Amino acid sequence: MRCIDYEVLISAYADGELSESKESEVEEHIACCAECRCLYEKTLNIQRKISDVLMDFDDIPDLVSSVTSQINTRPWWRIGSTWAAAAAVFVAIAFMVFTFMHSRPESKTKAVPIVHRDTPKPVPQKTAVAPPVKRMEQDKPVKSAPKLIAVSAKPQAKAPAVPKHMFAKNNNHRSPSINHVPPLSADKAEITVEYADAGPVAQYASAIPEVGPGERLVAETSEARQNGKDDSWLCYRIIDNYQGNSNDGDPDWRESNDRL
Amino acid sequence: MLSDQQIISQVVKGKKEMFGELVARYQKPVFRLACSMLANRSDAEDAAQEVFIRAYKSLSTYKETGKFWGWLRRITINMCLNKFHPAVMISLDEISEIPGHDSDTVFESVIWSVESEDLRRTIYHLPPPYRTVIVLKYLEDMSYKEIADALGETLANVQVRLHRAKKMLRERMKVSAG
Repeated sequence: MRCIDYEVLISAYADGELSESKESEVEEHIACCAECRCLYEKTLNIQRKISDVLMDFDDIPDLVSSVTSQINTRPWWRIGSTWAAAAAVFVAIAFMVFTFMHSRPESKTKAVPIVHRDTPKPVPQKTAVAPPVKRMEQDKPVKSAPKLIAVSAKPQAKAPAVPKHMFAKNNNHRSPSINHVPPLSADKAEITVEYADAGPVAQYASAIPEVGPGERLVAETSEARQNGKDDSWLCYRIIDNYQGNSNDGDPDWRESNDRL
Repeated sequence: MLSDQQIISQVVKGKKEMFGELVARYQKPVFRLACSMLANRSDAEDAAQEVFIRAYKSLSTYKETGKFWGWLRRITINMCLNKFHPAVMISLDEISEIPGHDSDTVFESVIWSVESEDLRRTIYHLPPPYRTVIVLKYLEDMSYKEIADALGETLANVQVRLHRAKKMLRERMKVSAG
């Protein structure tokens, strides 16, 4: 072995980390090699200095107080967990009561008056649709179905959703959408209106003041069909009239309905 | 005077105020080890606190078979290796694979980067893999096998790394002296 090959062994020898056989081999070499013996002495010297330097720590911070204070501090989520649970239950109950109080009364007071609406609003000439819409008297309001304005017994055919901007003029309510529009006959259609999101019925009623939840509408369609319009177009038009929206000069309104 | 094990038993039973006694006993070696490994006093203080908090949380898992300091030292080493400087704690093999970063180049970078004449600062300026083995060997007096186990390295790797680290320091001190 050359001297350079002994360097790693001499380092380990100085640390006392060699096996007996390797120790003997290194001892024999440094006994006869002045250069490696010098390297061994330098290695011992630097090792002593390293130990002295690393052990020399006078300024040690006091960790006792900081550590014990952290240990003694309870996490916030464990403080008063009973009270936190009680508060959560209270909030949940309050939310349920609030939701109930703001949905039930409005569905009755707002929905009922429109049953007696006999005179529909005039329809602009552009639409060529007469909107003599009335509620079918044999149908009772479905109080437990706040999502539905009207219900159809006919097989359901999926209709396109109502464009949001159709209802943009009523800013204080949510936008309903047409659920399906099965034709009743050649000149009548029964429409179903459904709101996209659940919420207090009062908002629905204000969206279409003349129609309450669970009520059914029958619309005359003959004139519209004569003008090449389908039942979906008619339904949107009816809703728009009930909301008091005018389609005059509203290109978006025409455009959206033409697409239907 | 209560032994470490007696204190630990009481802390585990709920007397957490007794843990302060363990902190008082071992804060110096923990901080010294952290400071030597991280080469930064502020980081070392944070690390030492984290070590004791982690030790407190894991105290129920501590086995009586070994010395408490050995267990605490292992937490300290892992904390310093993993949490504070994971990016620079590359292995010796990774250093060898970097083009132009053979041991001589590393040695030269140490030489050039060190401004102080002080050996401590020279040690602190060693690349972390070299500094770590130096600290574990000459501060903690750990055997090569203990170091290899702690770092997940082979015995031969630790032997070569220590040799190179000592060579760098020897050369540095020769430059300073000469």
